[in-house]
Amino acid sequence: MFPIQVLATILLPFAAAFEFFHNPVDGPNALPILTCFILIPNLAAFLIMATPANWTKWISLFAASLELGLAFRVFTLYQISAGGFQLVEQVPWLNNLGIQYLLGVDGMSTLMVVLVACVYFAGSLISWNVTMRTKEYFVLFSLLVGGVAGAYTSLDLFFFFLFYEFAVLPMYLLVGIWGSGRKEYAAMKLTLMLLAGSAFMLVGFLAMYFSSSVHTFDIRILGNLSQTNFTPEFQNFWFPLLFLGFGVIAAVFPFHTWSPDGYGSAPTAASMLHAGVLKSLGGYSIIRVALPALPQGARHWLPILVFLTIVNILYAAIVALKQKDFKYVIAYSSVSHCGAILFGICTLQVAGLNGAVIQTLSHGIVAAMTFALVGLVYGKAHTRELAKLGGLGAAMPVLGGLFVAAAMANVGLPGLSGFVGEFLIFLGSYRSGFHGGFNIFQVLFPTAILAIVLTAIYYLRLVQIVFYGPVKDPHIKEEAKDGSFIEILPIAFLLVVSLAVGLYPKPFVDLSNATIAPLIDQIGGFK
Amino acid sequence: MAEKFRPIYLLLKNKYYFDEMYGWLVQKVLFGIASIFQWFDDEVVDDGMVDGTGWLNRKMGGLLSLTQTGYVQNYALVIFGAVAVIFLIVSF
Amino acid sequence: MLVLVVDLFRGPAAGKGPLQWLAALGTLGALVSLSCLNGTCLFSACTVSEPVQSFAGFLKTDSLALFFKMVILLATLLTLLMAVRYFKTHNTYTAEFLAILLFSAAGASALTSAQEIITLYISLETLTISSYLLASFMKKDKGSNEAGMKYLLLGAFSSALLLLGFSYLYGLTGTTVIADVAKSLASQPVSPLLVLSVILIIAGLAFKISLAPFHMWTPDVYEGAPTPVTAFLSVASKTAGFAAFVRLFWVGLSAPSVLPVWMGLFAVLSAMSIVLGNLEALPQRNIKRMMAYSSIAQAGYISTGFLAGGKLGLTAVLFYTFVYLFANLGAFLAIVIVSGKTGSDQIEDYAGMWKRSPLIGVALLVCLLSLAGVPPFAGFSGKWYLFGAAVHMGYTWLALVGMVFSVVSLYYYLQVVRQALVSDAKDPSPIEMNLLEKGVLLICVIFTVTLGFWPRPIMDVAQAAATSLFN
Repeated sequence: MFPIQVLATILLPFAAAFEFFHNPVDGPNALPILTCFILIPNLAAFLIMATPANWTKWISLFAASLELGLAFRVFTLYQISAGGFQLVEQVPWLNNLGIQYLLGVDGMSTLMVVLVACVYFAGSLISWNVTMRTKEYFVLFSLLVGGVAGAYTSLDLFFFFLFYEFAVLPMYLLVGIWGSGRKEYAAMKLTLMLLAGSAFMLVGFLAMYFSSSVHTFDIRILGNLSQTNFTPEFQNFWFPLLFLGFGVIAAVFPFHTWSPDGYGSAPTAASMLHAGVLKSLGGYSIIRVALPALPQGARHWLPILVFLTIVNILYAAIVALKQKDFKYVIAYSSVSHCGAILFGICTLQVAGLNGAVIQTLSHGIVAAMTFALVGLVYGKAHTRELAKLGGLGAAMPVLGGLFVAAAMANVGLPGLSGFVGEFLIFLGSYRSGFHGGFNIFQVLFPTAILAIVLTAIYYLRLVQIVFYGPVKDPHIKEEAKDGSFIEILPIAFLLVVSLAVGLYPKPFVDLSNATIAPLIDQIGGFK
Repeated sequence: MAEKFRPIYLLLKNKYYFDEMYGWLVQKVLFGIASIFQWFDDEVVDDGMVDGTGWLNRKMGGLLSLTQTGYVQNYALVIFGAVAVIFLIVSF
Repeated sequence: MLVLVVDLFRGPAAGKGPLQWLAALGTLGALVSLSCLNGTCLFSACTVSEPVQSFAGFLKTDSLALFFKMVILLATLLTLLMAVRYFKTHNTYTAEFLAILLFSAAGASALTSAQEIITLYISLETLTISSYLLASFMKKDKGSNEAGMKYLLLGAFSSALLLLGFSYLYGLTGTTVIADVAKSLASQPVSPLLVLSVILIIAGLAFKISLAPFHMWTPDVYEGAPTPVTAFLSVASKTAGFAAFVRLFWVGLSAPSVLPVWMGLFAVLSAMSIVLGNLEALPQRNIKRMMAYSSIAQAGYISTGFLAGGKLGLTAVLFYTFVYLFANLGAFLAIVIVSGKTGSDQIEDYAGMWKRSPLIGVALLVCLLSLAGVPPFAGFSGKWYLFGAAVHMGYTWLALVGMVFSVVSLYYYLQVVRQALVSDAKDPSPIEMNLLEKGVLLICVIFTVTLGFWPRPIMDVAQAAATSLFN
C-alpha cells in the first residue's frame, strides 16, 4: 500500500504540472512558469509550518514532484534554435536603482533547473525518516531549494544575490541542528566562509552597476557592455575578485575547507542539495556573470587561475585517499570534481565550457546520489569511520550494488554522465588556444587524466573496504539492513538520470551549447 | 633450464614483479604523498588559514575590548585626544 | 507641526494616576501624534511644496523631518510597550518614566525639524538630558546609576564641545540659520577656525550616534541602563543624531569648499566604527553589551551612506534607519521579554528558545540577521543601497570594509541564534507573552522580511524625503 501511495504522490503532481504549463508563450499573457518554479518550494515551506506534522513529508514530496514536472516542461519548452533567454518574466521593482524582478532561462540554466528539481525530489525522499523536529527540517529544506531555484533563474543581479544568499541561513540551521560530528563548528565555518566570498561578489556587482553608463543590474545588458563600459583596468581588477568570490562556493583552493567539514557534518539531504546544487552555483555564476561582462579580465587571469583549479583536482583527490571518515572522502571528491568544472571554464574553449556545464549537471546528480548512499549507510551502521565499516555487502546487497554504480559514475565511466562532461573538458583543454602556439593547457591536460586515475583509486578502495572487505564489527553487520523502497527510490532515480545523460547526451549538450557558442563568440574565446 | 636462466625465470614467474611494483607504488608512494597533502590541508589551510582568521578576529576583539576600561576619565580623554589628533591631521 | 509637539506634552501632562491608565494614556498620546503626522499626509504630501513652519521658520517640517519623526515616534511606541513589560517585572513607578520618555521623544522630534542652530541645540539637549534621567531610572540598581552617571558626564563634555563648535561657526558666519550658514560659508575661504569648528561639531554629535572614536560610553551605558531605555537610545537617539548631521552637514556645510574638510574625516570615522564595533562585539557574553557594539557598527554603516550623500546616499540612510528601527527594536523586545522571565542578560541563557517560545526564537533570528545584512531580510536591502551609494561616490574601499565586517558580525549574531534555535534549553519552561507583545514581535518580523523583498513602499517615501532636501 505504501509504495502505491508514494508513487501516486509523485506521479499525479508531476503529470499535472507538466500538462498545465503546456503552452506558455513569451509575453504579457504568458503563464509565469519560472515564478511558479521559485514559489513552489517556498509555499511548501509555509504549508508545512501551518499543517500537522504527519502531513509534512507528503507535502514536501508533492511539491518536489510538482517542481519536477515544471522542470521537465521547461526543458521541453526551450527552443534551441531561437537561443538566448526565453520564458522571460519582467516586473519593474525599483527603477531608480535599476533593479527589476527578472527571470529567464537560456540553455545552460534550463539544465540547471532540471538539476535543482531532480535533487529536490531525491532529497525529499531521502529525508523520509527524519524524526527530530521534522517540521522545521522540511521547512528549512524547502526554503533552501526555494533560494537556489531563484538563483538559477534570476537575470537581475540584485535578485540573483538575494536568492544566492537566501540559502545560507537554512544551511546553517540544517547543519547545526540535524548534523553529526563537529556540527556546530562546521555550520559556523560554512556560513562564514560562504558569506565572505559573497561579500566580494556584492561589491563587484555594485562596482559593475556604477561603472556602466546604463546603470542597470540586468545581467543580459551587463553582458553586452564589456567593450564599451568596462575598461581593461576595471576588468583586470574585478575579474579575479569575482572569480574567487564565486569560487568560494565552488570550493576553489584555498577556500575549500568549508566543504569537507560542512558536508561531512551535514544531514544527508542537506549535503545532497548543497553539493549537487549550491556548489554548482559557483561555476554557473562565473559563466553567467563574470565571463560575459569582464572578458578582458578573464583572458588576462584565467591562465593563472587555472593552476588553482588544477590544485583542486589533484590535491583534493589525493587528500581523499587519506580520509578516515566515509563522508569526508565523498566531500573531497566533490571538491575535486568541482575543480574539474572550473578547469573547463578556464580553457575558454567551446568544448571546455560545454564540458564544464555538462559536468556541473552530472556532478550535481552523481554527488547527490553518492551522498544519499553514504547517508543511508551511516543511518544503518551508525558510524562513518572506515576503520569500523567492513563487509557490508552481504547485509546490504542492493545498496552495495548502487554504490558501485555511483563510484563508476564519479570516476567517469562511459555510459554515465560523468564521462561526457570530463571528455569535453579534456577536449577543450587540448584545443584551447592560449598564448598562440604554446598552449598551456596541453601541458596541463595529462594532469587531468591523472585525476581520473586517482578518483578510481579512492573510490574502489572505498567500495572494497566498506562493502567487500572483511567484517570489522559484527555488531554492525547484524543490525544493518538493506535499503527500503523509499530509500532506494531516489537513488535509482538519480542513477537513471545520470544514465540518460551519459547514454544520450545530445539534447543536453545542445542546450549547453546554445549558451556557450554565442558566449565564446562574444568574448573572443577559442573554438 | 630454470637453473640457467634463473633471473629471467623469476622475472617472468612473478609477472615482472608487477604486483609488487604496483603495491609499492600505490601503497608507499601515493599514500605517502597523500599523507603530506592531508597534513597540509588540515594543519596549514584549515587550522592555519581558516581557523586562524577566526582566531585573529576574536583576539583583536578581545584586545580592543581592553580599551573599554570603565573609567569615565579615560573615555573623556579619548574624546579630547581624538579631537586634537584629528585637528592636527586635517590641518597638515 | 505644532499639534505634534502639543500632543506629546499631553501625555506627560496627564499626571500621576494609577499605573495602567497612565500607560494607556501615554501610549495614546504618542499614537495620536503619530496619526496627526499621517494626517498631514506623510505619504502623499511628501512632495509638499509648502512645509509647515513655526517659530519664525526655525522649525520647518519638510518631508525629511516627517520621515525622521515617523521613525522616532514608532520607536517611542515600541519602547513604551517594552517599558510596560519591563516595569511589571521590576515593580517601580512608571509615571515619571513615561513622562520623561515622552519629553525625550519631543526633543528628538523637534530636532528633526530644526532649521536653526540654537533650536537644534535646545532640542538636542531636551532629548539628551531626558535620556540621562531615563538611563539612571532604576535608582536601586548600581548598573543603572553608573550608566546614567557616565552618560551624563561624557554627554555634558560632548555637549560643551558642540556648543564651542557652534559658537565658532556663528563667529565665522554671523548667522544661526543653517541655510544661511551655507550661503555665508560659500563666499569665504576655508580657515583653520572653520576646520576646528567642524571637528568640534562632529565630535559633539558623533557622541550621540556612537561613532568611533566617540563611542566609548556606549557599551557601559547600554549594558547598565534599563533595557527599554537602551532600545530607545539605540534607535530614537541615534536617528535624531543622524537627523542633526544631515541637516547641519548636507545643508549647512555643503559648500564645495567646505566638503573636503569633513568628508575624508567621516570616511575614516565610519571605517573605524565598523571595524571596532564588530571586532569588539565578538567576545561579548552579555547580550545588551553585544547590542551596544553592534549599534556602533551600525552607526558606521549608516555613516557610509551619509557620507555618499546626494539623493542616493540620503535615501539609503533614511531607508536603513527605518529597517534598523524594526530589526533593533524587535530584538530588544525579545530581550526584554526573555530577561523578564530568566532574569539574565547572558547570551547562554537564551538557549532552547525554539522550544520555549518559537516566536521569540524566530524574532531573534530575523531581527539579528537583518542587522547582519543577510538576505532575504530588510537589512540586506538596506546595506545594498548604503554600500551602493558609497561605491557610486568613489568609496569602494569603504564598501568592501563594510561588507567584510558584516561577515564578521554574522558570527556574534549567530551566537544568539545558535543558542536560541540550535541548543537545548537548560530550563524548558515556556515563556508567556500577552497578545500585544506577540503581535508587535510579529509585526517587526513581518516588516523585516517584507522590506527585504519589497522595499518599494518605504524606498519611495525615503526618496521623496531625501529629494526634498535639495529643493
